[in-house]
Amino acid sequence: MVLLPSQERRKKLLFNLLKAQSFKPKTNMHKSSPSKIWRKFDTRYSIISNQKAKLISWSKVESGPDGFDLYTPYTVGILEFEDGTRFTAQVTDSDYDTLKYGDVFVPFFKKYYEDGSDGVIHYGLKWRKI
Amino acid sequence: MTYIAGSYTTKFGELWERDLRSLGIEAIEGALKDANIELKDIDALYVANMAASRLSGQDHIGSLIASELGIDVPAYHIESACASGGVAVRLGHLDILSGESKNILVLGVEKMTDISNSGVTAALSGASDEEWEAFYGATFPSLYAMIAREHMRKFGTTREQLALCSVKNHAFGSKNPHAQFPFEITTEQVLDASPVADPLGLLDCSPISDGASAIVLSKEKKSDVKIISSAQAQDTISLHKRNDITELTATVKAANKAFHSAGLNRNNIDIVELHDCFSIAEILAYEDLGFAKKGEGGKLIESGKTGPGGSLPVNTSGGLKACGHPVGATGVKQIAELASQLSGSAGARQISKNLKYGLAHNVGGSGGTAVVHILAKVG
Repeated sequence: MVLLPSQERRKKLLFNLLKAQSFKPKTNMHKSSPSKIWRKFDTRYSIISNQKAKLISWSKVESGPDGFDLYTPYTVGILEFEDGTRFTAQVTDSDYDTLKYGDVFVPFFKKYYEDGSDGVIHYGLKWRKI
Repeated sequence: MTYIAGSYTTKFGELWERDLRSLGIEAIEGALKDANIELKDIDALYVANMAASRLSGQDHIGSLIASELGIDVPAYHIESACASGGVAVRLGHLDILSGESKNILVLGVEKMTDISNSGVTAALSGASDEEWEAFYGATFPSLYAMIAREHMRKFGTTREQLALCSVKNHAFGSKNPHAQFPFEITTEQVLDASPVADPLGLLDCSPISDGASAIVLSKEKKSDVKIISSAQAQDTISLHKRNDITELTATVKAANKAFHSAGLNRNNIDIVELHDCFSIAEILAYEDLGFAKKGEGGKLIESGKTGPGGSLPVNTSGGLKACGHPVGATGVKQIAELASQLSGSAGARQISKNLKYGLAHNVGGSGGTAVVHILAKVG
């Protein structure tokens, strides 16, 4: 006769299992390869010197996605260049509580995140209030 | 003509003991029983699922479900982020209208609680522009939070008005035994909840859920509820590319098309299931669907018109907030809920007034896709 664990017993086993394992995804899938970064060099990584951008809206991310653990909480914003082009980026080194619509920001080249322990390190522009 | 022959929705929630396939099969078996149609009479299977490849390591969902059922009919996997369910219903409907199929199974299913919170957040971010939004750490709560902030600035929408949407959806959800959170909450609880993406807190956000919903669509009149119009529209995938971030233009376009082809006005609609992934999304939907003027969605929620006892009940299932939001299942569940309400079989949450027309509104991402269906009760 096969003895199946009771519902109660199964719950306890599951609980112990969850406690024992760090509750993480089973694979460490890298989001990016060096070739992807190289391909995007002109658009993502070229610093637009003297470009200023106006803050349209913003939010503080308290619960970030994989890879952003070290930086959470962080602030994201929608910003607008003088020609009306808008984009999304992180705003940093600025007092969150004083941010307001229309504040002017300038870009800095900064680290965004590491793609796992042995993946590519991602850099990009973050924006600071002037 | 496409009739909703039957429907079934599983319990939504953190269902540790359930997996993707068992949820899907439960919903399908339930819907077939409700429709009184046998599996052998099904001509095609549409499966809506957003992220099983990232959440469960499973692709090829059409084949997965067809093989579990042991049927050999065309099985399609539909992915349009949170609008997957609505798009799948639409495609099933078009399949019937084309004359290709007589009976269609539409399943929406998502198993989300097997991986960490940050893993789910990353998977859902796949619905935004990976290169220009997700890369920078913009999560969905933060995208909708930026919409909320701008809506508050432009129109004076208040934090309390946002909170009322969650309170109202929980009030309806408290009567739904399938809801993830079948209990009421107060405005104070919403305002005091821990922040997720300022100005949105935990109780402004729909939860991470497991669950499935299925409907059977039939060419023949197997029920007294039919789809009278189906419309879909697209917009830029990234929020920042839009001229105005306080409107989901895809919703406006899809709603206008749906009303036009149904030959109906807004005031013909008796009941609505709309896409309240965040509290601000419900305010936007009121305006973009045309139930309130732009900027006056906050006043509509305050009026109580969309709540219990109101003249336009919205989200009697509890909406995404209280019923739960297993992403691929949501758009199908909306149709299932409307079909139950229109046919008078919604149990404890049945709206007592005479219902003729219902509207379902399902959004993908921050508004890159929107689907609107109008259902009618026929004599």
